[in-house]
Amino acid sequence: MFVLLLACTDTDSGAVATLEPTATLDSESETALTASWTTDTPADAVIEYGGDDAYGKTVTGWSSEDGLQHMVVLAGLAAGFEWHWRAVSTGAEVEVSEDQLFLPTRAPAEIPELTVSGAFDGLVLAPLLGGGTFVAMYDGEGRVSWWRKVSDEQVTLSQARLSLDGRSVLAMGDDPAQEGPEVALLSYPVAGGDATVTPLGVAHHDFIELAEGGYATIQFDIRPYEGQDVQGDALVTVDGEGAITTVWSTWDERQPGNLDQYPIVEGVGPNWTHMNSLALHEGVYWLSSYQLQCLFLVDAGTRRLVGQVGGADGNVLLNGSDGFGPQHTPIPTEDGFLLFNNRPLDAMPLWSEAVEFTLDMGKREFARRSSYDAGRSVFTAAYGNVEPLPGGGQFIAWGSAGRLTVLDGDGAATWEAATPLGSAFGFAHPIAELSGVP
Amino acid sequence: MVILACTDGSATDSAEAEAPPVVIDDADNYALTLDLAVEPLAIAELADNIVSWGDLTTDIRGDTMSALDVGGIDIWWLQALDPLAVLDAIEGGTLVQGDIALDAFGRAPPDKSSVHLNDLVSFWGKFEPEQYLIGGTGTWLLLLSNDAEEPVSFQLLTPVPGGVGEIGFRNDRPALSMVADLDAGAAAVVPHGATPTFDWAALTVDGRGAPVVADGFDQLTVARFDLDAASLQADFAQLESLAVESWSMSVKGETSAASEGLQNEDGAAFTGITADGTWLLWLGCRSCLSFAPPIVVRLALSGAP
Repeated sequence: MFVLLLACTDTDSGAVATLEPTATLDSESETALTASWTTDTPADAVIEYGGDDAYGKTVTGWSSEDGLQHMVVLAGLAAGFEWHWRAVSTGAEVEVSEDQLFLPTRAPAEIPELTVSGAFDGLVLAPLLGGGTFVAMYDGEGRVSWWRKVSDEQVTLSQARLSLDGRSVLAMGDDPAQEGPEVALLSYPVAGGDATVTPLGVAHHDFIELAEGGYATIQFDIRPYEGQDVQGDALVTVDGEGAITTVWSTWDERQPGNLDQYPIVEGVGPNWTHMNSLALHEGVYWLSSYQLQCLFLVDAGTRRLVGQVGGADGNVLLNGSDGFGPQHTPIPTEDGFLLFNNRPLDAMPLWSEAVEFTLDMGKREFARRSSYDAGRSVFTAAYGNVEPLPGGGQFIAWGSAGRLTVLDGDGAATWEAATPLGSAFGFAHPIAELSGVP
Repeated sequence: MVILACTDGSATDSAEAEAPPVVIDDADNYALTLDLAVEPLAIAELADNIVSWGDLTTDIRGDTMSALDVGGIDIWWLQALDPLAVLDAIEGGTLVQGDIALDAFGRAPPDKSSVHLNDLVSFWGKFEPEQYLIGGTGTWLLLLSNDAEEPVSFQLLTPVPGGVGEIGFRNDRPALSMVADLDAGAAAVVPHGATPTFDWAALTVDGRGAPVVADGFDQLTVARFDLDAASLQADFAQLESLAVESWSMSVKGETSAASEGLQNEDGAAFTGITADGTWLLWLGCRSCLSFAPPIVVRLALSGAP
């Protein structure tokens, strides 16, 4: 008697099904899977995945230096749906695993799904307003694919970003170690695990992760002026331990002037600058002042203002008649900047727009190049952001109006998404891929 | 002896045959005529008006309530909608967040039945009616809800110079009338002892004949009533409160659901319908502002007369 054992083959590719990955889910939302396996010979780490066992998509993960240990994170797949995946390692030969199933757990009912039209082959990272304090990732069909609860309280969650290494979702929320208004930068590993907390003090609205480590953010800078406290703002950097360094304050090179023109912050005083977003581009910080309707450009090295775009004291002037008013999130581009123009409350009817400007610092002028206003059908009272998409086009988040729009390279809307009543977005961002290296 | 142990990588079929789904389509749905009537209240623009509801003893559906049952207060500026358009949108459950140009919200203080508008907050911070309560275009909607976030009552407001400084809620405003015909649709048949899958992918219109998207509902409910269909129709505005038993589940983004996932308020699972009473299934949108489910279907036990 003899026993003939035949190893299984995948009839589609002819590869040998010898890999035996182990899979662990994140405990927070059960929407991210980490697959681990080993090979006997050096190889790479890839997962093929899709709605059925024809897969259709691949993602590359991490392999050890000797090429024998492999890990891949699979995340960003619509929760509540069954996904097929298999491990693939290519070295001297191609090895695969058996077909595996992944069912990301459905999100809590408090996290809304979006109503969509059109097509978008990407993800959207959104801090949610209303219905609970969550940060969520949506797919192009408006389905929740990853989420974290930021707070049990209903707090303002204005900004969430993917970390520079793509492995964590960063959100600005209440500092759990403080009872006052202090906030912290919460870093949630995509693959699961406890959040890292970096105190940000009295920061607000926005932050960016710095390539050298740490973060830059905006803090309230309240000082006495003409007999009362006046709320300005400061640009600060925060290192990994929470040590705060002031880079520039609006008080350094500007003065409030007539205080009667500013709204009053209860318990504080006149709200002079109301900075609400920042960017860093080629060594220059771009700071948006909603109240002064201008952009401050601050050199990160000299910590001095190198230009003020728009506003009453601006020295980079509008070429033309169509500038911007109260606004959010300037995004520097090759020859200008994108900006979400909320527009003032005294211009009826109210509507908002995403605008692209050219900028010539040599001539000290900026000019409107193009804009998108959804037929003047949407007004965003709070937040709003626009950013370029790789390969052309723009992504627009309409903030408190609870809408998202993707424009193609010709400025036509190709995808729209909307929240249900009572839900809206802070600053939302398109994300190409959430899966990959753990 | 040869041992082969291969799979083709595809999902294997279940060894057990599953009961066919109970299909819900337009022909099964009830017919509904719903009408909301309320005159907009002219309030003082750019002013910190008072909102009071101490006189409320019945909610908009006619259910008895206490003023202290009010939990939430929301105010929305629907800039592009006149009052009639707002009422149409509420009747159809079609208001979306993008319709709201400015909004603010707050919680009712404990043991109190009034708030000031500047007690409310917006997504950006404190709502300042002296700056934001703008008149001249569109309609403001002030909504009261209970702790379960169900609408209790609402008012339409038009801020004008010299308008009143208090928004007082009364039992008779707004007026809601609903005429439901539960026999307009055929009953969906459920096998005895079964907890079937309900499949509503074929739905295209609601009870009012307005278009719907089959995956646009977020809650499925099955309920038993001791009243017959005619009696339920007479008190249709109180439908949910008339149920003797009910089971619900979230179905957001879905077009079908396994009914074994339905649970009552104690967490007990649905075990199938019986020959006792009247059984209804309805699909709704909990995040929508509406006063009647868009889809209501009678359920009949197979073999029942």
